[in-house]
Amino acid sequence: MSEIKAKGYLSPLSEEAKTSKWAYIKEWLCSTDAKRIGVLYLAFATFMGIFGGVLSILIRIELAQHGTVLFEDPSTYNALPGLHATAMIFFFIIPAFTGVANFVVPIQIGAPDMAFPRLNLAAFWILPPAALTTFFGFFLNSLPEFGWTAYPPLSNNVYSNMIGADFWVLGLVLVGVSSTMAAINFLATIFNMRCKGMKMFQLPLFTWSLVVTSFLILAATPVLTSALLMLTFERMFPGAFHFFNPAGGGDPILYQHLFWFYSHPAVYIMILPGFGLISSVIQTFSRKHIFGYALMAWSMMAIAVLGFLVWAHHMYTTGIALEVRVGFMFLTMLIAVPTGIKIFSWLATMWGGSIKFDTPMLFALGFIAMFTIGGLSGVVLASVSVDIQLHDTYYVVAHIHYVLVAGSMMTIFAGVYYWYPKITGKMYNRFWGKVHFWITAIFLNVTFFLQHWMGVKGMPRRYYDYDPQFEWANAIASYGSYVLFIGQLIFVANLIWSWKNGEDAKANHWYGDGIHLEWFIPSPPDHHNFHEPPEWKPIVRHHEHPDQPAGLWHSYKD
Amino acid sequence: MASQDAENQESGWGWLGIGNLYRQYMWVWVWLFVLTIVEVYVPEPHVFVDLFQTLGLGFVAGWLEYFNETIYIPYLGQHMAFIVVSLVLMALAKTWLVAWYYMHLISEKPAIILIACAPFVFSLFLTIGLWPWTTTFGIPWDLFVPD
Amino acid sequence: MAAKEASIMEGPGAGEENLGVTNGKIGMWTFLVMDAMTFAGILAGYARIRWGSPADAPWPDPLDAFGVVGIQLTAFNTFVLICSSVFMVHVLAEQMRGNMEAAQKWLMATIFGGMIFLGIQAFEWTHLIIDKFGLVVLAGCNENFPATFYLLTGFHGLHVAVGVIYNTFLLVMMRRGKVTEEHTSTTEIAGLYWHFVDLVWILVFTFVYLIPVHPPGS
Repeated sequence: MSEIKAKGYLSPLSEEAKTSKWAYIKEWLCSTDAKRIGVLYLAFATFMGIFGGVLSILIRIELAQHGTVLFEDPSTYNALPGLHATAMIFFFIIPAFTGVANFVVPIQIGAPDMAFPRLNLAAFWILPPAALTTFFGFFLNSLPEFGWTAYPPLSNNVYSNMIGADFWVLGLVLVGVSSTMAAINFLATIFNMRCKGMKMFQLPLFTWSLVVTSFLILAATPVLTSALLMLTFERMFPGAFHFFNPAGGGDPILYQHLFWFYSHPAVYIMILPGFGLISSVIQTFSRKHIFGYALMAWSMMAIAVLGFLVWAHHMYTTGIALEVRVGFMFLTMLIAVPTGIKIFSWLATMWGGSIKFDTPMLFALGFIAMFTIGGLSGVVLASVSVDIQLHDTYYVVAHIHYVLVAGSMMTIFAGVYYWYPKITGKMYNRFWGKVHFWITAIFLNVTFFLQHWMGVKGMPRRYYDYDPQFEWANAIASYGSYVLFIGQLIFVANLIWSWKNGEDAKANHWYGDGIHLEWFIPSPPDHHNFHEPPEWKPIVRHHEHPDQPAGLWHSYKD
Repeated sequence: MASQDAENQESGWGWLGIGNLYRQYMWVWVWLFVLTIVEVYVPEPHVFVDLFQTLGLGFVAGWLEYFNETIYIPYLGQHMAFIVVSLVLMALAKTWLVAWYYMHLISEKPAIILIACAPFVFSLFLTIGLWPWTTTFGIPWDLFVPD
Repeated sequence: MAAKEASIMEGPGAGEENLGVTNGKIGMWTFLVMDAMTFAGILAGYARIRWGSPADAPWPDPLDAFGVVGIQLTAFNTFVLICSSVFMVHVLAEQMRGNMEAAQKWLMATIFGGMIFLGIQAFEWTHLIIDKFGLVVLAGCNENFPATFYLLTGFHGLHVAVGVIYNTFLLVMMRRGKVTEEHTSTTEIAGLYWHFVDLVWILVFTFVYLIPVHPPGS
């Protein structure tokens, strides 16, 4: 066995691990180093992302043509959309952001590690068993068929009398535990472990986004847990618990309220880290400070608070009072204001900058362009009268995918490409990175854009079959999704190949333009990040200041 | 943080002549105790009548019953709004006492106080949002609906 | 202020810029935010079910459902929990003035209070399951009265049980000399959890037991 030669935090810690591969792997799996845990998160998220992608391809194969294509039994198909959503939301997007944040946040604030390293490791290790539990129905051939929303009465023991559904509920509770543990850790770290000079309003925006996201997780996730607890009791002891059963004096709408009180903030949990991440990428590749830093931070907080006040816009067709719906419509449309502040601030950051079109920047630009489409279709859906027509159609599917694929997923790609030299100490293959971007950007639109039209014309979501008039559009969407999926394999292959064969990365790899602390330590960073406690030279945010005349790029070493 | 109001650790001790009791904590405890009694009395005034009777204090039970029948129930106790509002206010007062003095928010940084207040704000949002509203708030919405 | 010194910079980890408290305290407070929201979900659900009860299955009056003795017993239980809370703050106060003997005695009293609470609750549950709640359903009342009651008080009882175990663990650490008068922060964090359990009980007690369906005068 040859000696394991790796630099920085990748290098083995114990003598035994230097020569034994198994000892080295064991060291990784039991490491409390936030950087290693971050990489574990990313590896797990990649695996689950491919799993969720396979499920979506199965859906698209079935829908490629009118009539039966792949599944003889429609009930098999019925399980897939819900499981695809569960895999992507809880096991791909959220862990991927947690992974990036685990690596980057402690370094950005100048801390040696997270506040509770062992809690961090525990939070990660809850995830794989949680995934196994959630999808255990695959092994028992009893998959839940109630979508990712699990509305009763469809999800109660009469209409979903399958053991796989109980496992699914339990798995989601475990995921909630894991993500709240991570959120507690992030808050304690960011509040209390900043280096000298790193005041709250000096934090990089990615770290700011993690503060806001962690609060969202803390306040929203437990409400889902309580709803799932009630659902489980009702499923397990139908004679004694009737929370959602009108026959026993309960109320099925209650579940939807509790569910969306979590799941609407959850879309901000999935997009706010992306917002913060894009802010880092854009300022680096434009060689300009982020425009309107303070407003960028405050608008994230505004989105978070408003995000708690809009959940019933998912429930316009459930018969809640019109006054309530109008109130929720107003608040929902209000969210476009802070989001608009962010979009225009990114554009203003680029304005007059010296822009370099590396892969992270391409993803950032693609994100701004296409997330705006998702945001605009969101404003359309927020309107009560329009939503009654569009509710549960493919318009909603198109909207959510423009927000989550063109939003969250593209920001994750931007972040992974951006910090890849820092994480691995190697540079990815630039050519294949750009190929990956163009495939993603083009075929994302091929897959999802026509779904707006299908929705407006009335094609319902989650259905096994559809009216023949939608066949040509569905065929285009299906072929688009195949190419989109294959494009993601290029990404995975590129990253794995480059880790072994890429050129060595410099400390401040992006033309020396990175301004946050992670770019002032070697690539890859050493164990405990800094050899001596760093000091942050505060950035003066005024445009006209003796130290920083307008337009001059801040240099940390000055 | 026993002695956020004190210069040294030894001051603030001694309550009713007992040296091992900390004064501020014991007064908060008295308030919690009194509020609990009033809380039970407000919706169920006769509970204490029964209690005194069981304890063999029939004459106290008699006085209390007289007070209930002539003063409390005719003037306050028959109004549901009074009962609900006062119960909720007393519960909030008790939670505030516990959080402020026993969980030491009194000497805590504003950041921690903000964190502590967050769930109250969010649960208020939640409760208002999912309340089974049946009123139209007196607004003739029908007028705005086109035929 | 001696007060602040107890919690600042105890244990490793806090950075140059911090909130002036230990990492552990921020961790516990943020955990409590999470826990409070779990209770908020269940309590808000309770509110919607209760105040949205259909006319043909009304919500029973708590006094009828629990009985006078039940209300008295639970009021006593509230008193026990309040006493246990005041014992817990004395643990910290005695620890801060270096009197670990007394601190351990107060902690034992705290644990004892928690156990009494659990015992009375177990008695109450047994009594209600066997003698009472069948009657509520028979009377044509909302069948969710028992369901929400068991969910809320059961979930709270679980928290009390966890708190008793947590405090017992702390007591063992004190006895072994692992937690000394230096470690006030450890006790304070344990206390935060215990007071939170008390705080939630105040709300559960009000909403489940006290708020009536009809005013007493009617």
